[in-house]
Amino acid sequence: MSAVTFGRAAAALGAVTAVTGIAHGLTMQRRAERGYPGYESTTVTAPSGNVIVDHHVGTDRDDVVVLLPGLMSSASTVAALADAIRDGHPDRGGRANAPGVLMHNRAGYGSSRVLSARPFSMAEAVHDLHAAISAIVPETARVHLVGHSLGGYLAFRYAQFVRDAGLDRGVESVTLLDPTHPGELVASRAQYLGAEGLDLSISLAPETMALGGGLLLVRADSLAYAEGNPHVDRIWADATSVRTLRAARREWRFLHPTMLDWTGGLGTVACSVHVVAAGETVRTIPGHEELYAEFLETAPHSSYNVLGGADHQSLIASPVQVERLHDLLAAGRVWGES
Amino acid sequence: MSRQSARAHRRPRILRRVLDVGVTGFFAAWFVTTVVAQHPDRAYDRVRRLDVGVGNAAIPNWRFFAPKPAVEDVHYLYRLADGDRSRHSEWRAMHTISTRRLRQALWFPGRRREKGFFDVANLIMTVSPEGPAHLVKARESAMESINDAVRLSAEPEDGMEWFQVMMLRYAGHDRTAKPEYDVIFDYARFDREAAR
Repeated sequence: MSAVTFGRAAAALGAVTAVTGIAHGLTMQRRAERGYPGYESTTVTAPSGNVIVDHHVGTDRDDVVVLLPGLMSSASTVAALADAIRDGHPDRGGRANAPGVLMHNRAGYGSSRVLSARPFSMAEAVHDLHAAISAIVPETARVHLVGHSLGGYLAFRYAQFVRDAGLDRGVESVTLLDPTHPGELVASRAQYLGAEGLDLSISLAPETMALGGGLLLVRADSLAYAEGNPHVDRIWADATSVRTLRAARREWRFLHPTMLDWTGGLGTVACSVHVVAAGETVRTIPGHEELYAEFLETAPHSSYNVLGGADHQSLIASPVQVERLHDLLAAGRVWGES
Repeated sequence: MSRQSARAHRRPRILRRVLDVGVTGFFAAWFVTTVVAQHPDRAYDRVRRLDVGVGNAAIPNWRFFAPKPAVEDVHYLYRLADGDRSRHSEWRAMHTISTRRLRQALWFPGRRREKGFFDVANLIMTVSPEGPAHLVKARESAMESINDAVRLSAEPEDGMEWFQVMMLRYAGHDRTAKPEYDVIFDYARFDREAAR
């Protein structure tokens, strides 16, 4: 066997592997930018310069639920919950009495684009969200924010912004689904170690994915939590999209040091706060419920529920858990279903 | 040269050519597979799993300790407890870590046992209790293997039939460094059958 022959064969196989991987990445990227059947898409340019593309239905209703996904997650991760809310609860008159739904994609996720030259900040995310809500939801509608993970903390910060800015548009309620607490890396060693691991993954992920790394992931393992979800292909496309991962890295570069610098004090909000914890989160992370209790203490009215058997991701992506979650939100009358 | 002898002459050349391409292709594919299996983030281990059937021996792992080498030893402590967990013993060391010597760079058979404990700790720490079911099962089995190690090295005392394990990391050579407490296991009973 001559070295040249081996070199050529290895180069050819490497090139085929790379081309296949890159083609896979481009396909996933295109899928991640599609709209959602049954939802209208609206493009808004925020004061930050970012372009936000959100998906919504029934925003002319009295109540509109704004769904905010977490870190490294596009609207696809909350789409199953959005469908359930859009279709209404059978005990409450079904679709006719259902609230409107708005699925928000932060800058860089889905079709939303980061055009701001500045680094990410929570202030930017709050103002981008405000630009989207102002453009899409009529002022007469009551807004209910439902955020998962980082989206939960964003919902909380948005409620503070609306109150502090004295805006006419109020926020009726904030529902935090297994939310990120800015002090969780300080409070929990397990969370701290988890963040260290995430730091490595997220720093390499965009370039890995651009070079076709999506083919090296085991989809069955990565998406076990979303089995049976009608949007699972879209969740996969988002998870392996270079643009999504770049956006996540941009956010993480702000969030990681900020969370490590936490000294306490969430402040208060004027609306009600509802926390829904994933049972596995509070079971496996000692002391985490104390952090959730801090959110409850910030509001004049609050509620706390634990969805047993759900973990952080399956809480919003597993069809079984989504049905339970929707039952819980509808039974708790978090938003009005007349 | 007759047609028959020309054919007979060509046959070894074709065979050699097929063999040449096959062997070259095999080694080239092995090389490419090895390269793509070196990503520091183990989430990208789809290709590496191809050699599970041959004991993970076919695809070399050149990551060694990347991205973070181990700089601490793992220690397991245990304490005894009575049936209602109202009474506990002091924390005791389940095993000892050998003091490091220069000769151990050449000969250190005792390290195999310590490395076993270290690998179990690594599994417990790196697998999320919220992860895929098969990994969670592996994590639970790893914790149970540590419980079994306690059952082998300790005995119930003074009516205390239960025990609890704590896992911590400690630099060992640096006495000023504080130990890092990682995981406290659920209580387990010495008599495993009686616990059911």
